[in-house]
Amino acid sequence: CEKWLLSPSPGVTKLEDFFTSAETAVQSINAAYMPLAWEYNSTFFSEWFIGDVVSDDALKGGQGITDMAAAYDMENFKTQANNELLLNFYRAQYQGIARCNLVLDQVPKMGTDETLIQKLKDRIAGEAKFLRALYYYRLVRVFGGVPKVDFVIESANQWIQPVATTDAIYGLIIEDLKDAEGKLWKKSEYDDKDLGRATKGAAQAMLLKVYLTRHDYPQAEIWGKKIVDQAENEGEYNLVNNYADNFTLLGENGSESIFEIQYMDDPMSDYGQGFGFTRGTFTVMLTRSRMSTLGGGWGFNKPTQNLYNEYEAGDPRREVTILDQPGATANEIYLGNTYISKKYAMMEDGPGNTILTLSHATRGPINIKTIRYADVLLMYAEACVENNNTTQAKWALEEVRSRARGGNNAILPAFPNYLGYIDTKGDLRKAIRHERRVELAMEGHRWFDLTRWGVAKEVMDAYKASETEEVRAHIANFIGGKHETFPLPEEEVKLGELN
Amino acid sequence: QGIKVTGKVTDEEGAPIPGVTVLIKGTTFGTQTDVSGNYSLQTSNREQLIVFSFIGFQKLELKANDSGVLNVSMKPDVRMLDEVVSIGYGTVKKSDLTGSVTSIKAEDLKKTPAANLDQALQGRAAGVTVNANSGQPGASAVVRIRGIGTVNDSSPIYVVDGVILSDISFLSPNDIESTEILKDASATAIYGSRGANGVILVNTKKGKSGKTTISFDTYAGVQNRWNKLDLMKSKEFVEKIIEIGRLPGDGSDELINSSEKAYYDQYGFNRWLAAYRIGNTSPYYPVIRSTANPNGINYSAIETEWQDEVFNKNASIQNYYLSVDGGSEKSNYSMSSSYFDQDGTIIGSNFKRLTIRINSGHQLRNWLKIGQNLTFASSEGRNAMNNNASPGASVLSAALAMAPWDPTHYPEGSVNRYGKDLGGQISASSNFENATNPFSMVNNSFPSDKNERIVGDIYLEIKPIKGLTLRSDVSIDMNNNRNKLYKTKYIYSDYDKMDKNFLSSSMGRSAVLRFENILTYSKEIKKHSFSLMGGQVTEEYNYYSIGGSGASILNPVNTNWYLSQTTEDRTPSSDGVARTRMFSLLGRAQYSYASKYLATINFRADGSSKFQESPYGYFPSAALAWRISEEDWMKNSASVIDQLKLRIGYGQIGNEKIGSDNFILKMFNTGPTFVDYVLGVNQQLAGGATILTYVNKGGKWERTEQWNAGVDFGLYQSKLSGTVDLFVRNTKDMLLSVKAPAHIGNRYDPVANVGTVQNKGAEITLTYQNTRMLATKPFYYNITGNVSFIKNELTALNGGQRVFGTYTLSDEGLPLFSLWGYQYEGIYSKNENALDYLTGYSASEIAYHAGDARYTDLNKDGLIDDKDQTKIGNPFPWLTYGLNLSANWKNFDTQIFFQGVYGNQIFNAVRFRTEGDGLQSTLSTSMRDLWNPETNKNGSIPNPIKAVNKFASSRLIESGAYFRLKNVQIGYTLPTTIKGIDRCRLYLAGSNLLTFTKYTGYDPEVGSGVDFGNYPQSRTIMIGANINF
Repeated sequence: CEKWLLSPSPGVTKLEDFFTSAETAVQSINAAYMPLAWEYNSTFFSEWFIGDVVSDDALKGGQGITDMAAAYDMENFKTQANNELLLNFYRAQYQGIARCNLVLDQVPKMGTDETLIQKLKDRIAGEAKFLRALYYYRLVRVFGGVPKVDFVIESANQWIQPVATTDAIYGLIIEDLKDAEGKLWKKSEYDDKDLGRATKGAAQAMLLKVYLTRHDYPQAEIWGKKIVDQAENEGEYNLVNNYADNFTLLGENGSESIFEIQYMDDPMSDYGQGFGFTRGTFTVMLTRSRMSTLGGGWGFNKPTQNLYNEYEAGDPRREVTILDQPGATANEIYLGNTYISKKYAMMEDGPGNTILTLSHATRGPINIKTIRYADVLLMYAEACVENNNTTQAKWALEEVRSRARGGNNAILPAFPNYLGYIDTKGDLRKAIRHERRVELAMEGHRWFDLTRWGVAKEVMDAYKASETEEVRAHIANFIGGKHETFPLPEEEVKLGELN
Repeated sequence: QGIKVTGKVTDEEGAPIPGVTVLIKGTTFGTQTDVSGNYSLQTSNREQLIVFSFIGFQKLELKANDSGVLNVSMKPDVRMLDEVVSIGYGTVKKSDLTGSVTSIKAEDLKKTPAANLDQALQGRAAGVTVNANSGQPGASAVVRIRGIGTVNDSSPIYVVDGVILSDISFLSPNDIESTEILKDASATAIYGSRGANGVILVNTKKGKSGKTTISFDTYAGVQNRWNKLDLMKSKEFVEKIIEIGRLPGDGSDELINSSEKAYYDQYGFNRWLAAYRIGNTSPYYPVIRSTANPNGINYSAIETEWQDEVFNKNASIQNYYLSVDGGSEKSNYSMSSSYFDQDGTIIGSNFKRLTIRINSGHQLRNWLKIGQNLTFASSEGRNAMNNNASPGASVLSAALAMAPWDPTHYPEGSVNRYGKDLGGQISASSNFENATNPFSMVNNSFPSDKNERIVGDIYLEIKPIKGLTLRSDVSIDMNNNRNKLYKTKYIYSDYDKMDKNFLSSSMGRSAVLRFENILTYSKEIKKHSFSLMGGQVTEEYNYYSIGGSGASILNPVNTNWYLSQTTEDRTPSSDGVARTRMFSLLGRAQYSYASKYLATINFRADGSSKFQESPYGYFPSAALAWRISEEDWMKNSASVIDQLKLRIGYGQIGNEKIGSDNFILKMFNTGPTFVDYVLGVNQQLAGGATILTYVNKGGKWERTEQWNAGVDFGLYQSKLSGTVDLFVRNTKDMLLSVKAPAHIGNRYDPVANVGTVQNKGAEITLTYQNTRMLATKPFYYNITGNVSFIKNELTALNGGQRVFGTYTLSDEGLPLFSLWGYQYEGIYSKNENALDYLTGYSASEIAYHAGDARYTDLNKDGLIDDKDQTKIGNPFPWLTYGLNLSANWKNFDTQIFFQGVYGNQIFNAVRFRTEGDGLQSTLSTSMRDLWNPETNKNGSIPNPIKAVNKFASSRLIESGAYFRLKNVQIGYTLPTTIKGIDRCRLYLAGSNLLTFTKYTGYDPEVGSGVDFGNYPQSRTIMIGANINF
């Protein structure tokens, strides 16, 4: 009777029965990537809502100021602690972290066999560490200190975890990335079917980025050099000839790509209800022009005049980044701004270089570029200039500018012969920051660059002053030392006693 | 030939009885006794029977003798007390009941035109709260017996002819013979882990030996909406939108200059719409009339009443029921078939059901009986909506999202700018572009949801010796669901479109198989009467479903709507499976002494596969009753009291209505949801697996303890009777879905036994019935009222987390699902007022300015944050009541039924939209009083563009109290002169004829306490007939 009553339920896989083969180990790490792609739960979240919209590069856009009030608040420094974009972002990152923790708890315990060879086991652990570091990095740079959980929480008496300091979180990130860097395979070592996984190069690039964020320039330069050397000596990475190719379907996961969040074309993706199948990104539909002839999108993330003006005369990257349409109708205008962000609009991915018609009403197949080699070069330049290695800094800067130039020597001269720069360390730093802004514009980096450089207040104040009266009416005063990060979500503060 | 008959009517003691109805049988001709009990009447025929009837006495039928004198002595009618009542695994004489049980007459249930029993129960029994929840045809109501015991499923169970069921939608109310509601723990404990939320016992009609009855019941009627929201018309709406766009967010006392306003003032509505909404390039809208395009559509002349467009007028409801009952000496049978068909008052909603029932019983030997009950029901319906905030979720919310200047369909001659003819096409939403036209929802989507259900059992009863019965019963409840959805390919806008036609199809089957063996022994020794019952029940629940989807059927005629015809985007068919098992032992002992002192003890042990670590739960109960009216000293006294009984009971019961695998830590690998990731050069989904929920270990049953004390009484020959019950009900170990902090990494919330809930209450039922003479004809009337008072409180969480819902919170010291938010006090008229009140903010960072909501700073820290949130309402009424008046006079009968609730609140979330920024909904006329720094500084509606004004607050809380004329029925029974027809009654009835409420939404009956624009109840007028052959 007891046996009949308690015999195992059909259709249920218990944890202890699962980790039995290489395939299951791989499945567990695949699931750990998934929260990177999540953009749902009553939110249309992508990191650019912070990286671009909050910064001086973009206005929120959409249909009027009330369309997505949570983003409006963030953009204008009026964020309330119950901001739902931030809450859902926070929750998604920790789901990713827990999945990494599960992999790290289970996979190393598994025995090796002919399919689960040690190299694969190591790689899986390396992927988990890389992803855990990436999730924490996404959290720490938005919120500052958060609870540090690097283990599987099995029982309710472990639910309350202290908020770790920013330093402690960065400590974990660096430790994880170093471990991952040792275990991950190079991009060229992966099979075609595994394209998109974390690589050794991706871990190095993250180390470069994190050390820069920590202002540890010597370490940053060391890790930057490792990637640069691989690119220069082994051909592992290089800048693609045509800058615009980075933002096409054909150019996905190309030679310039270091890490991308993978999306695919699938009419079956959900509509943001949170049913769980996110296979395409909302970014395409969110950022496209509201005009039917230009894709019929929702018109979010509109480049500012301030960004438009940052480009040097003739810089072809401006055309790739910003769609200028002086004849825009009023429903396209947001607080007087008519610019459209082009990089994720897929305007030439359709047949005959036309606008791609999405197979799903709101989801597009384009990958989100988390790290490109151009980004690495500019970070490397930044590290070098702070270490007074101006030769390498100029070399890296020129690499980026020369690709942008595209063989047209009439534009984008080499440093220092533009924008009134002279050959000093200070101007070289300025030149690198200028280059970062235009090279990586509308890719979700700008706000984090400003906070990393510690110039958020001065830049945002200057930006506000440059804006139209209509836009200025909405922007609250920037409070230095406060507005660089966002408040921990109120509901999580309550649930986790995060005080 | 006839004679004159006279006589006197007395009771057993010889006292005269006035007011006795004296009728010649089969006619309406008769009289009534006078104050001395005397009567006199003329018969037309010597052979005619004379019928004497009076409330509280047994009816007599006698023939007058030649003398014409007929004196009669009437005996008190104790039959009412000796009705047999079902109590679960047995029956008991009503007089011997020890628990709190309410019986509801089948005739009363039938008076509400409803597909299901649950709706018909509304207002009929004290302690039973029914919330119709939705006007969707076929939708089940929310039934709560004695409050809400748990945040989990608080629905009672239904037991139909002994078969335990969780819902009763398969049963036609016409088939019901009797309904008993078991309310207290001493009555429900025999159902153990299922008894915590009350039990509704239903017996279907059985045949009677020797008499064949053919009955035909029917009604048909029309339903209409009774209420609508007061929304703005085109011109006012657009000007309000433009005004909202100019409201300053920083409390400045001037409106922001807007180019939009200037544009609108200069060029007018049509050009504003073109420039600010439709754009110059969209192919989805017709060309707008202008001087350049005089043949274009003139939007400024369109005024669509969307609320009228999506509500059907005179939606039909009809019901047909035919039954045949009868039997021989050894066998009886009852067969019936019914058909119910209801169209919804909202377009695209309906429900139909066909039922067939066969019951029979056969006495094979003196000691052996077999019998069976079987019901088959086939139903299908289409849903118009969920109670959901999203403009795409329902027909009604979509209708609100359409602008009044949008036509439902473009007029003939409409052409877009590329020359395409849009005439007759369903229009695209032009104000909020991410809205679906409700007609598009109805016309481009073809859902088909069919259900087939079989409920039945076969039983064997053996009586080997006197008093001993063994009953073995095998029962099944099988449910087959088939859901198919076909969506056409169409495009009305970038949002309202389908690029390919699409089909999804799935089938699900669930079945409960149960085997019961119950042994009962009864014995009477002098004044002692015993009854013992013991039994064992084994059951298994199985569920299996399979389904898939695909797109692009090449020739999409409806005969091709099958998965095999899809050519693209096919998903592999996926299946779902679940199983639970239960093993139970149960027993009951009843004892009575001289029918005065009564005692009942119940016990049940349930073992369930849902609780792997502690499967067994034990549920005892006991009850005592004292029939004071049976005491000699009561009988002898010349008391007005005919009956008086005191009852007291205590019991423990459980609730097992939780998911089957809540306590099993499992890997989730059935992609592609949540776990599959895109990888590879070709970008394909790679399978993933992880734990979505870290479960708690050691979960066990929810347990409820209940005390009950009650009194039943009858006065003045039971003209006045009533019941009063008091109860305390404590739920312990409540399984709460516990929200873990995000860093646990759970996708879904785990559950744990953490909460305790208390419900306290009182229930009173009073009935007064009497017969009087009116114009020489007897006039019978009955007034029944019931009231229940309930106080609900979540008494402890024991370390569990409070449970947040949408605008609700369940927390210690509060009623379950309390509405939660800020206390709204009004609007700051000046920036300084906000700064003076909210001293915790500096002038540069304060988010509250003139025009913003002033929320109470409860903790007085000068900040408005979650610490200032509080209970702003209780969705559950503390008072529910019903009042039924019925009367018969000559051939007429009538019933008037009122029902209502008091003391609950509703969060009217629709107002977030209708009093919002005008983007997602047409605005309410209440927005005329919007705050405006120039023209309406003291407006009552805060600035809708500010996030702080969108917080949940008491501003949107409204009283949910209502008093409803639920039902009126007037019937006329034809004189029985038609040959072959025993009885023919015709009636006219109306439902929801009047509703008194202050609630401003569609309908105060909102199941959850949060109203996102629920499907309102309809007002129904119908005619019907009951015919017996």
